[in-house]
Amino acid sequence: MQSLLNPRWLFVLSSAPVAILLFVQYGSYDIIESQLSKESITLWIRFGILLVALWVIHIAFALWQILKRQRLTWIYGVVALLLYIPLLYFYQMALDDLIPRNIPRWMLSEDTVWYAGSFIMPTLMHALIVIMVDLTHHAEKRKPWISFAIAVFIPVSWYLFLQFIFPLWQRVERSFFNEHVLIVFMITSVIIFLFFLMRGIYIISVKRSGFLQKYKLVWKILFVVCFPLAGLYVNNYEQWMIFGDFRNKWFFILAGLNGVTACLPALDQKNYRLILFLVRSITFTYILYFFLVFLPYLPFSIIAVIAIGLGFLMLTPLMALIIQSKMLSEDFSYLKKYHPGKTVIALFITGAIVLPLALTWSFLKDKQTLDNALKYVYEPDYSKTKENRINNTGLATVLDHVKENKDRRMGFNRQTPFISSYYNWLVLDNLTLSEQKITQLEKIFFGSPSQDSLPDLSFNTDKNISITHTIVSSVYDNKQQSWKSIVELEITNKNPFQAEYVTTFTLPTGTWINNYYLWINDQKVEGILAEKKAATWIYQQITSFRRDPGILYYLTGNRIAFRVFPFEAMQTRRTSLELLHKEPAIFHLDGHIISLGNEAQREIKKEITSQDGNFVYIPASIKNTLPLTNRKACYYFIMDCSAGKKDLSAMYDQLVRRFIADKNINPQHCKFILSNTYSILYDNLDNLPAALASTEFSGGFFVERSMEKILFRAVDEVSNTYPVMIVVTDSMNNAIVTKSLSDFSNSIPESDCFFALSTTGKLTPHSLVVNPKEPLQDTIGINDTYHVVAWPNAVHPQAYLRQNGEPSIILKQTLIQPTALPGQSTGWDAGLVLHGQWMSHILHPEKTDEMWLSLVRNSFAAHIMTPVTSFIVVENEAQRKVLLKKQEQVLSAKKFLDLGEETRMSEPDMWLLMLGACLVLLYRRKHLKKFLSPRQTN
Amino acid sequence: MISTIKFAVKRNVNLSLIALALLVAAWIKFFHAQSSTDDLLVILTPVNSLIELLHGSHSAYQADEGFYHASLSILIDKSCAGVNFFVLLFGVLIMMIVPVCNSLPFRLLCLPIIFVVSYVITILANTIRITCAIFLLQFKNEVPWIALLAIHEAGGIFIYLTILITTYLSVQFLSHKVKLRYAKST
Repeated sequence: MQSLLNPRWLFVLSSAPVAILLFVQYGSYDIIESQLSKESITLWIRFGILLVALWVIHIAFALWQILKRQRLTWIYGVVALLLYIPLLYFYQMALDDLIPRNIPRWMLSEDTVWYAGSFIMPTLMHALIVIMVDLTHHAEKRKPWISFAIAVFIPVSWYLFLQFIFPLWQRVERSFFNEHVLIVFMITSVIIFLFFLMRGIYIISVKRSGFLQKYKLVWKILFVVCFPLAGLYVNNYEQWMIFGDFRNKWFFILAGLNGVTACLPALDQKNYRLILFLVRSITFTYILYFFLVFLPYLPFSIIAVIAIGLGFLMLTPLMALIIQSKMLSEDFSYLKKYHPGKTVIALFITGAIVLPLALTWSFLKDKQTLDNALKYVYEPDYSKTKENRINNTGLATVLDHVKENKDRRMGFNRQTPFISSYYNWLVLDNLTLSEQKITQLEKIFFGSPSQDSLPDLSFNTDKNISITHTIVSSVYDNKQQSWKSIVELEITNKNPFQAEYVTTFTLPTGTWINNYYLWINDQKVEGILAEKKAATWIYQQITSFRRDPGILYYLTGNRIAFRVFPFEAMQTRRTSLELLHKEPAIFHLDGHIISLGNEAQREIKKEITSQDGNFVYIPASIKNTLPLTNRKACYYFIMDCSAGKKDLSAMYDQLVRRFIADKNINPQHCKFILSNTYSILYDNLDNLPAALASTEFSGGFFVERSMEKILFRAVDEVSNTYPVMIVVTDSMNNAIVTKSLSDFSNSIPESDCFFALSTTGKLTPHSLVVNPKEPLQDTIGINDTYHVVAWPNAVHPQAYLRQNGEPSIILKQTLIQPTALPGQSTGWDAGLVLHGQWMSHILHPEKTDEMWLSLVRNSFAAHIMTPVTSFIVVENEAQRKVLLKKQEQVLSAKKFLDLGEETRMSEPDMWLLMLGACLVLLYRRKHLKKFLSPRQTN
Repeated sequence: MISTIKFAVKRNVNLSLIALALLVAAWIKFFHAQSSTDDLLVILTPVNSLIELLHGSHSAYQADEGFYHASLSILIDKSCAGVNFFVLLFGVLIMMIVPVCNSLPFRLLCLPIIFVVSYVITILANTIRITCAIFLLQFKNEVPWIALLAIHEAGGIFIYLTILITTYLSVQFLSHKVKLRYAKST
C-alpha cells in the first residue's frame, strides 16, 4: 500500500482515466453540438476547460514530484478530493443542461451519464488511500477496532438521523442551502466512512501479532470466502441482478478458489509458496475485476448499509483487494529471496493474464461458431456438395449468451459488467443479432417449432395516404447515351392524424436510382447515399421521435421500399426521385403509371456490353429477335428430413415412385435432395431408399437452401433442361423459407413456380417470388410446356431468357472478381456494372467478405443506389453525424471480417514507433556505448 | 571569451537548424493528417512500383482510394504511406548530423541531403514492411483476426525500428570515423 504513494501512480490512476473521459465526452459533444442551445454549449466548454486544466495540473504535479523524488502526502489527497468531488457534484447537477431532454437518447451511448463518475472514481479512491496510508504511521502498533468502530458509527448515526431528526427537518422550508447541505454532509460521511474502514483493514493486514492476528484465518474466511459468496448469492437472489448478471457458475467457482488460496497458510517452503503465489496471481484478476465493477458504487455503499444491512457486502471487493494485495506482497518478498525479482514479476504477470486469456479464448471459440453458422445461413457456397457441420451444442450456448446480452428488463441490468461489452466487441463487433436472425438460426439448426414469422406490418400501406400528383420529366443525355428522368411526387395524408407513407414498387430492368430529394419546410433536401443497414437503423430511430426522414432501399430483386415520415393530418408533401435508364420504360408506383423517356424515340438496336466486359444488357427489341426454344424438365424431389420426420421416410420412396408413374415421368430425369439443416443432392433416384436409411433426421427443414442450390446449378451450368422442384413433406408450414426467391427469378425463365407433394399424394403449386409457403390458386400443371429464347443463338446458347417483352441483363460468368468500377464507367454504364456485380454476389454469397466493401464503395463512387446502399434524407446535422458514425461502425465491422481479403497495409502509429524507439534506445544505451567505444579507441 | 561566443553562436545555429527541421517534420505530419491519398502519390507511387516488381502483381489506381492489388487483395493507400517513419527518421538524422557539421553552408547543404536520404530509406523500409505484411496474410485463416491485426502492427513496428536503429548506428559509426580522421589530420 505504501507503493501507492509513488507519484507515478497518478499517470495510471488519474491522468489516463481523465484523458479517456475527455476523449469520450468530446465524442458525445461533437454529435449533439448542433442540437444544443448556446447556454448548454457554454456549459460544455466550461466543464471541458475545467477538466483539461485539472488534467494538466495533475500531470505537472506528478512530474514535479517525480523530479523532486518526493512521495505523495495526505495534503495531495485532500486537495485532489476537494477539486474532483465538487467537479463531479456540479457535473451531476448540470447534467440536464449538458444533455437536455430534447436530445434523443439513441444519439449517445446508454452509459454516457455514468462516464464522469466512472472515470473520476479511480482518482478519488487513490486520493483517499494516499490520505489513509500517509496518516497511519506505525500501523502495526495501532488498534484496528477504533477505526472499525468509527466506520460503524457513521451509518448508525445516519440511520438515527433519518429516523428521528430528518422528519423534523422536512418541516423546515426547503431551500437551496439546506438541500445541498444534506448532500455535502452525506458525501463527507462517505469519505470518512471509507477512510476508517480501509484504515481498519490496513492495520489488520500489517499487524504481526495480537488478537486479530491470532484468529487471522477466521476473518480471512469471513472476508474472502463468506462475504464474496454471500454477495454473489444476494445479487442473483430472485434474479435481482442489481449490479449485473453474475449467475455463471464460474463466478462461484472462482470465488471459492480465491477464498481457499487466500486462507492457505504461508509455509516456509519455496516450491509451495511459488505455486501458491501463481494461483493467487490468477485469482487476483478476479477480485480486481469486482473491485473495478463496484468502484463507481462505493460512494453509495453507506446508503446501502443504512437502507439494508446487507449493503456492507458492496464493500467486499474493496476489503478483499486490500487483504489479497498484502498477501501477494508478502509472497513476493518471500520468493525474492530464492528467485530473481524479474522472474517473480513475470510469474505474477503470467498468472494475472490467465483469466483474461481464458475468457478471450472462450469468446473467440464462440465467435468462430457463430461466424460459421451465420456464414452457412447468410453467405453460403451453393457449389459445395458437402457442407461443414456446425457444432450445435456450441451454437446453442452462443445464442443463449447473445440473448442474455440483449435482454434488459425491469430496469435492472442483465449484462455482466465489462465482460458483456467485451463479448459484444469481440464476438459481435459491437453490433447485435436481431430477434429474427436468432429465431431463424434456432429453426434451422435445432428445428425449433416453426412459427410463421409475423407478417411484415411495416409495408402495410395506408390507403388514405397516397400519391396525389406526379410529374415526370425525361432528358436524353447524348454523351452518356442514356435517359435521365426526374419523377416528382406529391403525397397527401387524408387521415385526421399523423401518418407515415409507405409503399413498394418494382423498377424496370436496367433502371437505376441515382438521387432522391425530400422537401422539408419548403427546402429541397438532397438524400445521402449511405450503407443500407446504417440508413435503415437511423430511419427507425428518427421515426420514433417524429422528425423528417425519407428513405429508399432495395428489398429483393428490383423491388424498392419507399417511406416518408411524418405526414400531419391533411398535409401534402413533395419528394422526387432521379432515375437513369437506357431506353423508355414504364413502371407502377402506388397505382400511378410512371412513363420514363419517350417511347417514340431512342429504341436501342444492339446489345450493350458493360465496360468491364462481364455483363450484357439485351434490349427488348433484340430479345424479340432471338430464337424460341423449349427445354425438357428435370425433376428435383426435395425430401423433408428434419427432426421428427423419421417415421415418414418409409413412405417417401413409395410416394415418389407412385407420383412419377402417375405423371408419366422418366425416372432418369429425376434427382433428389435430402433436406434438413443441410442439403445433400443425389443424381440417381435409385439411391433414395439407401440414402434415407443412412441420413440423420435432425434440425429444421431448410428448404430454401435446397432450392437455392438447384437454382444456382441452373444458372451455373447452362443446359437444355430446366429444373422443376417438388417439395415432399407432410406440412409446408414446417418448411423454412426466410425470403422471396425473386433474386433468382432469372435462373428458371420457364416458370416462377415450384410444387409441394403432400404425404397424401396431393400436388399444389407455389410461387418462388411471392409468399413461397402459400399455395397458388392458379392451375399450373407439372407437365406444362414453356417457350424461352436462347442467347446468343440456339446452337451454342450461353443463357436462356424469358419471353416477356422486357430487357434482360446477363452475366457472362457467374463469379466476378470484386474490382473498382472501370475508369470510364459513369452514369448508366456504371449502374450496369453495379447491377452485374450484385447479380454475381447473389450467386456467390460465399464471397461476401471480399465483395461487400467493393459493392458499397462502388455504389458510393457512382452515386447509384444498389441493394447494399440506401438513399436517406435526414433533418439535421446531428442525425447526419450519427448516420455516418453508424455507417463507419457497420463498415469497419465487416472490414474485420474480410481481413486479408482487401487489407490496408497501414503503417504503425507514430506514438508507438516513438515509444518503441525510446524504449530500445534507453535499454540499449549502455550496450551502445560499449559497441561504439572500441571504435573510438581505434 | 571568443571561443565561448563561437561556441554559443555555433550552438544557436545548430539549435535553429534543428528547430527548423523539426518544424518541417511537424508540418509534414500535419499535412499528412489533412491530405488525401492523391496528395501522397509522391511517396506511394515508388512503393507501389517496388511491390509490383517484387510480387509480380498489377495494381489499379482509384482516385482517393489508392492502389488496389487484386491478386494480393491489398490496398496501398494514405495510411500505408510511411509518413510517420519518414518524420521520425528525418528528425533523428537531423539531430545526429547537423551538430557534427563544421560550417554553416555545410549544415545548410545537409538539410536537403538528409531529406532525400530519409525519403529513399522510407520507401525501402515501407516496401520491406508491406512485403512482410503480405507474407503474414497467408495465415489469415489459421489465426484469429485480432491476433493477425496485432501481428501486423507488431511486425510493422519491428521492421521500422530495426531499420531506424540500424540507420542510427550506421550514422553514429560513420560520424565517429569522420571525427577520428579529422582529429588525426589536424
